[in-house]
Amino acid sequence: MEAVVAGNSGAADELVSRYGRRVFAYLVGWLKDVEEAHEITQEVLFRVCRKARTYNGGSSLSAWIFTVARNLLIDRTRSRNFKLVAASLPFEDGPASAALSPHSDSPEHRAMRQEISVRVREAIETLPPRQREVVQLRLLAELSLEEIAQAVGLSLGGVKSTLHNALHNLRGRLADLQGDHYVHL
Amino acid sequence: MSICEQNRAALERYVCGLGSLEDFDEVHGRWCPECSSELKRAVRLRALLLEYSRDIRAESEGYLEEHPFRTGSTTRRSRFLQKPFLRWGAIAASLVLVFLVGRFLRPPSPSPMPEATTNAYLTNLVSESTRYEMRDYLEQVQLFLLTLTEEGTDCQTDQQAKRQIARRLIYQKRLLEPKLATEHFTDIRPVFDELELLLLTVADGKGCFKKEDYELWKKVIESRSTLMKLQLLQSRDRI
Repeated sequence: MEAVVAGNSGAADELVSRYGRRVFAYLVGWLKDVEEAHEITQEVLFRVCRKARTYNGGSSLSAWIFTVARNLLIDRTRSRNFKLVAASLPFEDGPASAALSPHSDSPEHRAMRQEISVRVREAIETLPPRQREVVQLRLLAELSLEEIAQAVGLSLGGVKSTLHNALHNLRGRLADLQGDHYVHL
Repeated sequence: MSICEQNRAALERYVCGLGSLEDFDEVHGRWCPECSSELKRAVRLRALLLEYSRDIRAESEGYLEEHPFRTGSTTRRSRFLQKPFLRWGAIAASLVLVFLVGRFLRPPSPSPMPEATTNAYLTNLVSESTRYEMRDYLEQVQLFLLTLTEEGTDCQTDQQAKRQIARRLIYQKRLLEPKLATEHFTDIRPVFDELELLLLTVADGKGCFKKEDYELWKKVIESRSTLMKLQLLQSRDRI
């Protein structure tokens, strides 16, 4: 961060490559518009570089960056009256989609997999905002529990409790997907 | 904490990606139906959540391949302006530019007055000032002579005051002498001299003014047409 403060463009590039994708994935998880998420990510990176001198090292850098991202997301949400309970994203078949099924070429399996993806997204997106935020920071931003606590301003116990409740809710909402039929797809 | 509770906590960490299944007590899980089913649910939920996160990442990666971050402009300012000395240099250059533009756009100032014009102007100014002084002096004398000729009974007026006024006017005339010596006032000077003589006569008198004195002064003033000359000079704007 000192190099970023000093105006070292290489350090800024490193910062972008290290955190840009994680921030972007986190925002894509929140917003249905990928372009919007990209724009906000760009803004987050800009702010992080601009305010680098205000980072005092007291908290994790990841937590600090995601605090910036979270604040910006809240600002955008407020200013545009954006519904955080976003609609499901259009799906694309990526290599990761094959994780659940070795028969991904079959149209039936592809349709089934798409249905599963939509259901999981809906389940996460309809969680209470705090639970959804904690889950997405964990799954998409890959923050540790301590970093999540710093980013959202909760105690570590609060984060654990929120995550526990979120998993409990998800388990209930996705109970019908946890049958053998779906898992072996 | 019982083994079942420990297993549930381990599975929860596993689902969140914070731990592995090695923390799960497999031996206990073999005979505990509750832990066994919990394990199955956890593995499935973990798979669903992994799929979700991979899906989002795949989508974001695909987008980023086409729209990479503008790393060079993450600060939005050009790199040129990130260097403090260049930034200040740019500011200084801008100020100089503004100054120069302002200088060239400013309407031309009036050209300085030529020396001859300046001299003429100053001469005229001095002349005006002198004329004003003389006009003032002559008005005082004119007023004095009028009162002198109109009042005229022996010792009934304050004659000492009249003598003082006469002396003051003589003194003022002598202060004006250097200016009267200039070419511009050559034709006016005789009038001033006549007035001085008359004022000297008044100022040098002893005791009370006599009726004959008044008559004499009046006659002198009228014979020399002194008042008329003064009016004439003023009307012609000579003084």
